[in-house]
Amino acid sequence: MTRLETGYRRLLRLLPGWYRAEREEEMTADFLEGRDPEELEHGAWPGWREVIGTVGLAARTRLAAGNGPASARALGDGVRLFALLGLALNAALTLPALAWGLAMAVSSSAVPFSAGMAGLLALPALAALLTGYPRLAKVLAFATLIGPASVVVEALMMYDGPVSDALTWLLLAALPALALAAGYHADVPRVPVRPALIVSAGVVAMTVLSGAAGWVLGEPRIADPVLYALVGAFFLVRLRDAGLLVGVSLLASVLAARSALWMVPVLDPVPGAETVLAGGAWLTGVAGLAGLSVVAVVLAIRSASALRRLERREGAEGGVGRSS
Amino acid sequence: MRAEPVTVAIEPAAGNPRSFRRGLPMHQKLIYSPAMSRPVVNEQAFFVLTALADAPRYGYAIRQEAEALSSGRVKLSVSSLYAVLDRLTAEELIERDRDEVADGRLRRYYRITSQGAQVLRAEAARLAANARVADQRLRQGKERWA
Repeated sequence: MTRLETGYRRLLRLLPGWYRAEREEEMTADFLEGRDPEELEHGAWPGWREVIGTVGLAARTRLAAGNGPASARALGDGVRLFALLGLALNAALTLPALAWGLAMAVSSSAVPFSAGMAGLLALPALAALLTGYPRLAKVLAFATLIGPASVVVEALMMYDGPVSDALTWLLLAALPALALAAGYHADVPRVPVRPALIVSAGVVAMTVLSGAAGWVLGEPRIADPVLYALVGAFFLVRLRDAGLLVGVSLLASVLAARSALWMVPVLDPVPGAETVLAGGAWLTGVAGLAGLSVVAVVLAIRSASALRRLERREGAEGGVGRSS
Repeated sequence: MRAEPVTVAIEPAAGNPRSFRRGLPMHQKLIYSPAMSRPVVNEQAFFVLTALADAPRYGYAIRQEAEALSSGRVKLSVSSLYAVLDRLTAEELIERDRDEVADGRLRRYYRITSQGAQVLRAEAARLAANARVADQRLRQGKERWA
């Protein structure tokens, strides 16, 4: 085996096993045909074009839509659902800025004006996805990262000020953007608007409810984990579908990580620790975070076992080009 | 033939048909129905089908032929070619013909199906009609464009 062939075979390891079993030999032959002997013997690097192309093919096959084994389709469905939910959540979080005016929203936080503006792009990104422009949605979703990224960089360079707010913001914006980029590939048809709008409205309602509860308690970070843990527990009991389990599990994990990051500044100083009520609310928040983390872990375990069950069911039937 | 919408339920649904156990309506219809996908025959797929129209070919030969037929416009990378082949196979527009071994390497040949030939013929007719209309209009206004 030449060095170049070894390089191509290594590159093909990005593809899932079921796809390699079917395609590795013919793809390797295709990569190598037409190369001159000198290149075959001494070349080792497949080249950026093939690397990028293979990464795209890996996303298409691992997060399948329509074709591929049921487990790959379920994983793809879950990632796409997570991207949609995450985008809706980010869009919902920009609603206060729209409602109370951008100037008020910017002046009431440490977030710079440009950062706040970039965050508002989550709304058109969601609209672009629902109206059949996934590429535009991807560009806009990544543009929303400018805000939190600039705040994190600024905080790190200045060596002062808490970065946990910006980090949680970055986490919440970056992961759905990555899921959007990987999950909505060329094989994915247009998202049906009505059901997607219903799901998005649910996310917005949950965010509004969480904001209202935070306002009542006087500390928005406390209400979030409790509410999300309750909603997560509801889905935990009801869900059976592998794709839905994966999607909700991913979102629950991100929300748990976000709440955990939030708890860091809450610990020191404890907000309103002088009052028993605020102390109790903080403890409720910690309990909620623990609940949400448990929900996320159980959902993740159930998703993984559901995917394994699907893989076992498919067994040796593996093959390329199957659609169901 | 386009496939029926696909859902991935790990247990049979029971009871209330609107139950979450069956997945959200969005989840059932979302990304999972090949019938909702964009037209199969984009330019790359068109030239892959055209490359297979006269004889079965294997991967590298399909790429070479597609590039030659498109006067160099369509340069398929290996990964793009297999993305197109996967889709056309799933849509039953092409199928495997035979496997051969040359210089110790696998050559898997693909051939167009009768359905693939129909789709290619329809697409070619559509493009030809478009070209005729454009040509007609250009001839009508030839003084202007001369």
